[in-house]
Amino acid sequence: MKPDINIALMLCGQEIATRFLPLLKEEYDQSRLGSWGALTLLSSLQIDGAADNLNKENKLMLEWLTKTKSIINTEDLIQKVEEVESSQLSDIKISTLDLFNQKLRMIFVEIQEYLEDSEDSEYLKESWIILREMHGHRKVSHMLDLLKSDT
Amino acid sequence: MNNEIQLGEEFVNYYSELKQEIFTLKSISRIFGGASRETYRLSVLNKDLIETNLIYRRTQSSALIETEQLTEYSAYLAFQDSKVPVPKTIAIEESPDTLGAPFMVMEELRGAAASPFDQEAYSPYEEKLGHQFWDILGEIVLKDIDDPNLASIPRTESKESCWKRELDHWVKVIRQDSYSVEPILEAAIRELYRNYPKDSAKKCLVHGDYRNGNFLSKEGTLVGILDWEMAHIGDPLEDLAWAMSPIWCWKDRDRPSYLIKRKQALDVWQKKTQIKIEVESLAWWELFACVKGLAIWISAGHEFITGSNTDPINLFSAWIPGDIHMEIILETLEKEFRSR
Repeated sequence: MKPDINIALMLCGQEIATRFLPLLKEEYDQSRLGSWGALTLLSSLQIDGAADNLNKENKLMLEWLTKTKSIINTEDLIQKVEEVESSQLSDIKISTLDLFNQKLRMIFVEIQEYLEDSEDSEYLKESWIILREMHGHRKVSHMLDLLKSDT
Repeated sequence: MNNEIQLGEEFVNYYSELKQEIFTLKSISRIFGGASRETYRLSVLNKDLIETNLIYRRTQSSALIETEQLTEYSAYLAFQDSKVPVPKTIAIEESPDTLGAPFMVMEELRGAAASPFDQEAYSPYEEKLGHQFWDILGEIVLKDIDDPNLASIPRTESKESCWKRELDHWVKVIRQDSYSVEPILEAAIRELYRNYPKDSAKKCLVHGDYRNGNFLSKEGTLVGILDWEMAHIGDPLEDLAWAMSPIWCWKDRDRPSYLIKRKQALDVWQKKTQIKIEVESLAWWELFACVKGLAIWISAGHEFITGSNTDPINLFSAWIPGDIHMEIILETLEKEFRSR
């Protein structure tokens, strides 16, 4: 088996930080290259799960949208949900999954707003559980220590 | 000749003319961080080899948040020789004709800046610096907004609410620069428009980015408040809420800006300003701080992905602080919906 992309990125990030960074003299160049090294390392940790996370997010949102159809009285919104329900993805590339994810998010926002106006608390509470899970898939803030950047 | 040296040489010619004295360039180096301006530290020598250290801030061809150099410069002018420590101003050029971009020049203050994500940055002076930091914020609130130096600082039309002006402004930035749909952010925006705060009885000068990382300190003394480019006239709680935001004390949430405890900080600020803090209004401004922050991080990501500025600080901003602000909103609104 060939070395995985995430391993290659991880080694690249490490090499930037340990081999090339010390060769630079200017503080600005050091900080800038150091940031690239840390961000490359961070990417290496994210890339392996990216497609799986998007797929899980899409399923979660789609299930919730389908459930909410029963209490929505707006034809336009129901139609939008039905459109995404019938979508067929051509492949499982990250870009394809992400494009579908964006469509789902757009409708998710509209239905959340609708539920807030109609004061339906049950489905709203469920929507926040989904958002928490989605945020958990993407968050990188726990890797803050990797990045020693002055902003 | 590399670009930096050339910039330095051009600057020294300008500076010599400004001062009517011949100067030579000793050194120039760019300061990392902050994506709205290119900032250089310069050292120049006169004919007697006396050294002057300067800060030269140029508008980026692609600035993260478009602000006028004059806004920042005006704030520095308004606080020269006051209880709010700022660098000594030397010159501003708003036209790009002189040196290729608008710029300002200041004397360099001797002190250290810190990363806002380093919880030990101010050790062992957290207590001492904390009192100064919150007290100085109070001084800014007390500043007379009719000071002629502040005439060009952005402000609301007389009948418009401060909260609305600010929220409209940052939502517009989000709408312009968003590259993805963020349901958590959208929910926060709706919440802010629905449950807006009372108008403050007092309008004041707002720094716009008052926090750890934007001041210089030296051995427990706060020597300079920097980065006033988002200054405007607004609500006194805006800066307070921004500086209190958990993003600036992510690993020690009850010690805003990694200085003193939150309650202590609020006491220092209230004692100085004599403003009674409305808990609900402060909570609104704290949620607003997340939306404003996200607008800035989204804008940074936009600069990065469109290729207009591929400085890694823009990628960093979109990834890490953006993520933290999203999490703070999530925590706030989850609680809100659970309590309904």
